Parts: sequence; C-alpha cells; structure tokens
Amino acid sequence: MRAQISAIWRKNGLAWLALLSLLGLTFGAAHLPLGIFNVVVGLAIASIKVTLVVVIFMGLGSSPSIIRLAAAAGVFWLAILFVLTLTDVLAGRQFQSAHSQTMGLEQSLDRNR
Amino acid sequence: MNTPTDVLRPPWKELSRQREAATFALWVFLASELLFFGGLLLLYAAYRLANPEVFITAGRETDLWYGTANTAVLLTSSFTMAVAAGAAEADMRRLTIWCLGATVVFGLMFLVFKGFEYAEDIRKHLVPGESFALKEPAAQIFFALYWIMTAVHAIHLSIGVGLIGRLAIFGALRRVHLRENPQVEVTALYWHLVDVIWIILYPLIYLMGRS
Repeated sequence: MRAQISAIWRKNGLAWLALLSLLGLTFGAAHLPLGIFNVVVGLAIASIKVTLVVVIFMGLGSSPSIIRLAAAAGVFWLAILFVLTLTDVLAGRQFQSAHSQTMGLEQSLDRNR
Repeated sequence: MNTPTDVLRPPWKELSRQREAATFALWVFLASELLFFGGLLLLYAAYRLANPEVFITAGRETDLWYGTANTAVLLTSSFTMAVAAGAAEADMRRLTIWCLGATVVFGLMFLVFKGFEYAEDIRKHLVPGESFALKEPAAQIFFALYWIMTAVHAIHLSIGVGLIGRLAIFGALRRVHLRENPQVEVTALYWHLVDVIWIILYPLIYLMGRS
C-alpha cells in the first residue's frame, strides 16, 4: 500500500514539476527577441506540455490500442481541417512567384469571391 | 480482489469491460471536443496570418500575470486530479476525496482569477464594440476570439468543477463508491482535456509581443 501511494505521487509529481518548469521556460522565452520564432517556441513548448498531460496524467501511454486510435482520430481530422483550410498559405510559402509575399489570406479569400 | 458490484451497470457483466467502454466513449467525446476547439483555433490562425502585426499588438494588451498564474493553477489541478484517479484505483478513499477536493479548489481559484482578469479587460475597454480601446479593426477580431475562446473554456471548466465536486461530496457521504469507479476516471480525463486546451491557448493569447 505504502509503495503504491509513493508510486502514484512520484509519477504524477515528476510530471507536474516538468510542466511547471516548461511553463517557466516558455514564459522566459517569450521575452527574448526571437521574431517569428517566438510563436514557434511557444507552440513547441505547449505541445511538449500537452504530450506530458496526455501520456502521463491521462494514461494514454498505457492505454489499449482502441483508445489510442480514438485519440489519434481526433488529431488526424484536426490536421486535415488545418492543412486543407490553410492550403493557399502553405502554397504561398512554397511558390513565392505565384503568390506575392505581401498577399495575406484575406486578400486571397477576396479574390475567390 | 472482488469487484464492487454497486458501480456495475447493465449491460456489462464485468467492471473491467464497463471501464473500458466508458473510457473509450470519453476519448471519442474528447476527439470531438478537440475538433470543436480546433475550429476556433483555425479561425485564430487564419486571422493571425492575415494580420500578423495587429495580432501581436493586440495580444500585448492581455494580462500576462493573470494568464501565467492561471496556467500554473490549472497544471496543479491536473496533478491533484491525476493523483485522485490513481488513488481511487488503488482503493485509497481518503486520499481520493482530498485530491478531488483540492482539484475543485484549484478550479474555483482559476475562475476567480479569470473573473478579476475579465473585470480588468472591461475596464481597459477591450470588449469589441463602439468604445474599443485599439484603433486597428483586426484588434477587435483578436479580442472577439479572446472572449469566445476563454469563455467557452471557462464553461467547460465550470462543468468539470461541478462533476468533480459531485464525486467528492457523494464520495465523502459514501453515496458513491469511488474504488475502481469508471466515473472517476472519466471525470479525470475530461478535466485533463480542459487543461490541455488552456495549455494551447496560453502562448496564443498571452505570450505575444512580450519581447
């Protein structure tokens, strides 16, 4: 029983400490002048935090595969939603000549009307 | 270990199968919640790509300290909830109830901080409309998204506080058996999702334009 209690506290406590350290890290990094990389770093640290919560607190690491599949399906459809909606932005980055650099999403939406 | 029969519901004959079904159903629900918040995040991404500078200027007007404190509070509440779920599984009734209670307290603390933050936002005229503080039109879009996303999140959080509070009180009164009860695990999963959504919102709302 005692061993079980300390195992529960240790596993979740370490995850909690890691999450708070990452919060400190992302808070500090936001104050550095990194330009466009500020948002990249912010989202990268957020995804590490999400992974810690999902794998350790929500126990996805030790879940049966049917549950992992349900979780993966959510992420899969979310990825489709984002990629298909933002296709013209992603393409704009790839083919600068086809899309002038200053053209924003709103203008490209206007043009399609 | 014999299974407590009073948490077993038809059509299941074994608690382990019931738990698996409940957990699976909740993950399917969480996937749909992910897409629900995903729609709002997509709207944010599209408008931010169209107005990168204005979004950063507008983001600077949010309160970094309330946002960061609330992130720490919510991460801690997820920790106590995870301990409660583990303790319920290991049949440690007292620890489960204490940790459920702590999670409720942290959840309420989040809502109180959020309330103070909203009051400050209203005072600073950050509600989109006639008397909005910033002159750029896209800044109103940022704050419209800010209000919608944080309010929808707060509604989810309030539901979570209610569900956890119910388990803590009924558990303490022995009206609900906490041991191996799928309700504890399912409530914990829901609570962690509320935390996950906030973790994603935090850099998008509060960490912009701080350098």
